[in-house]
Amino acid sequence: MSTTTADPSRAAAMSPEPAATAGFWHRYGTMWRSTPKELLAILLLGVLGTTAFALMWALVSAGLSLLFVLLIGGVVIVGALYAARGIGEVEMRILEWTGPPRIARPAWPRQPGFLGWLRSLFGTPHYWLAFANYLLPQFIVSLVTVVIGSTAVGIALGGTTWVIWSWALPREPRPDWGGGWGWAVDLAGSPIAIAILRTVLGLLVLFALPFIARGLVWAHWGLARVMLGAFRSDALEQELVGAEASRAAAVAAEDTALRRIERDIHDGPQQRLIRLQMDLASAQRRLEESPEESRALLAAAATQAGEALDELRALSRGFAPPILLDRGLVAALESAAARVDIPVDVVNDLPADTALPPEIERNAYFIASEGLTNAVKHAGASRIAIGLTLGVSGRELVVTVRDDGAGGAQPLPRHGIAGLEERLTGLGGSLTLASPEGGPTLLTARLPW
Amino acid sequence: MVRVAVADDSVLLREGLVRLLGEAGHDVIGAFGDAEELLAAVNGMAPELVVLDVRMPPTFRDEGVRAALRLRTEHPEIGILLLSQYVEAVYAQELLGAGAGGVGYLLKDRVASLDELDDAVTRIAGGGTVLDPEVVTQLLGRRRDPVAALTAREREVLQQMAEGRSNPAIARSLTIGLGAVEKHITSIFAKLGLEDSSSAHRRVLAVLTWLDGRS
Repeated sequence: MSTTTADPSRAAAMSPEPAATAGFWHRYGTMWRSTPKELLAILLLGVLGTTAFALMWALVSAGLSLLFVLLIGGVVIVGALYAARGIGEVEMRILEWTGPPRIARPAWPRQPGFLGWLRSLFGTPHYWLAFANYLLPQFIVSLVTVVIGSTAVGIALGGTTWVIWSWALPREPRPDWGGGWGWAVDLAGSPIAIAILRTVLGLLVLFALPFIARGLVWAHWGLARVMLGAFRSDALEQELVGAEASRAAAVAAEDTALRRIERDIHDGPQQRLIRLQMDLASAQRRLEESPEESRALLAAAATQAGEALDELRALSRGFAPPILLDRGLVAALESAAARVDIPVDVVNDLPADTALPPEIERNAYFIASEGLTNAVKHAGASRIAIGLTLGVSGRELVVTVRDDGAGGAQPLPRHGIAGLEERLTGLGGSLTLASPEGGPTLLTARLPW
Repeated sequence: MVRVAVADDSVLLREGLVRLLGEAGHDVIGAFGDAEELLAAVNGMAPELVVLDVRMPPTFRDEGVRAALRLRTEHPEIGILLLSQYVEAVYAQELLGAGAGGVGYLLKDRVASLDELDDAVTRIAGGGTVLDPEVVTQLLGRRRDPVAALTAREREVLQQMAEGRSNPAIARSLTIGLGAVEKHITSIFAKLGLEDSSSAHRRVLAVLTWLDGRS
C-alpha cells in the first residue's frame, strides 16, 4: 500500500513547525512552484467533470429509455461504464501529474468468454463506482473547487493590484447618511480605506493561495481515491491469490517429493530387506543338514543388511543432512562446501542471534547445495562463494551462490534451478539468476518467514 | 578385557551393544539413555572406555560429540568411541583435535561385526585412534588433486593410515611386508609435504589436518 501513503516532505509543508521558520519559508517557496500547475489541474478537472457529468447523464437517459425498447440500451450502458473507467484514468493521470501520490488502480478482472466478460463488467464494483462518481460527486467537487479556486485567484490578483487600476472604475456619488455616525461610514467608504482593505485582503489570499490550490487538488484526490482507486480488500484479495498459488506449488512439490521417496524406499532398502528375510529363512532351514551353505547365506544376509543401511542413509541425507539438524545451516553449508573439489567460501553475515525456522534452514541448504552442484558441474568455476544475509525486513533470509565460471546458465524446465524456483514459490520467496555469457553467475534466493 | 560404559538412547541398539561387548569379552559396567546420565556416573565407575551415540536426548543433535569433548577435558584418561548412524568429517576433526589418542569415530554398521568392534575397543583403550573409512573417504574427496599424485597402493595405505591403523596392521590388511608399508608412507608424506611422526595419533591428525585443507 506504499502507493497511497503521502509524501512526508509534502505533509511537512502542509503543517510547518513554528520553530523552523527558515525551513517554513523555504517550503512555502517550494509550494508556490507547484501552485500554477495545481490551479491548471483544478481548471482541467473542472472541465473534465462538467463534460463527464453531461456525458454520463446523456448516456444514462439514452440507455435507460432504449433499454425497454431495444437491446441497444444495454450497449449504451456498457459504453457508459467503459467511458467512466476511461475518464477516471484520465483524472488520476492529471492528479498524478499535479503531485499527489499515485492512486492504486483496481485490478479490472476479466473472465474469458462473452458471458464471463459481461459478468466481470457488471460484477466489478469499480465500474459502477466510477460511473456513479461522474453522475454527481465529481461534478459537485469540480464546481466547488473551480468556484473557490477562481474566486481566490480573483481576490489575490485583483486585491493586490487594486491601487493600480481602481481609478478606472466609474465613481458613484456616495449617499449622505447624515446623523452622528455618518463620519464613520464616510471614513470606511473613503477611497483610501477601501484601497487599504482590498489590498490587505488581496495580500492575505495571495499568501494563502498555495494552500488553497493544494487543498483543492487534495479534495479531488480524496474523492478519486475512494471512487476510482482500488479497495484495500483488492490488495488483500490479490495477496490471497498469490498465497493460494504458492500453496498449490508447495503441495505439488511435496507430492512429487513423497512419490519419489516412496519409489526410492520401494526400489532400494525394502527390496534388500525382503531378500534378507529370504536369505535368513533359507539359512535357518539349512542349519542342520548343511551348515556350510547356511554360513554362506548368512554372510550374504549381512551384506544385504549393510547395503540396506547405506541406502537408507543416502535417502535420509536427501531429506535433510544430519549435520543441518545437529549444528544448523552454517555448519551444514561448510560441510557441503568441504565435499566439493573447488574452493568454496561460506560467508555468513547473519546477526549472531538470528533464529531461522527449520524449514527455512532446510530449504536454504538445498538451494545453496543445488547452486553449488550446478556451479561445479556446469560452470567450470575455480572459486565459489556462498553468502548468507538477512533481508531488510529482518524476516527474510537471502542466500547467494556466486561462481567465477563460464556463465550462461538458464533456468530450463526439469533443470535443477526450475525445481528450486518451485520450492521457493511454495515458501513465498523468490529466485533470481544472473548469468551473463562469460560469467560470473549469481544465484540469489530470498526466503521470507 | 576393557571396562566399558555405554550411552545410547535407543534401547534396541543399547542392548545389542551391551551383548556384543560382552561377547567380545569386555566388561560393561554401565548402560545409559543419555549423555548427562553417563557423565554423572563416570566419576564413580571409572570406565576405561565409553561408547557414545551422537544423537541423544534432550535435543537429539550432537549431544554425544559435546559429551565426548567434555570427557576429553575432564577425564583425558578415558577412551572414547563415538558411534553414529551417519558420519560427519567435522565431528571427527573436533574429536581428534581435543586430545592425544584414545578416540574413535565409527558408523554403527561397523560394530555389527564382533571383530571390528573388538578391534576398535582394544585399539582405543590402548591409546590408538580409530576412524571410520567413510570419514576418511569424505576427507580424501576434498583434496583430489594432490591425492591423485599418489599411486593406487599409496592411496590404500593413506586411507588405512587415516583410519588410525598401525604399520603392522596396514601390512596385514594389505598383505604386504612391513618394510613396504614404511616405504609407501615415506613416499606419501614426501608427496603431500608432511612430516612423518612415530605416534599413530599424531600421524592421523597430521593427515586429517592436511586433508582438511586449512593447514
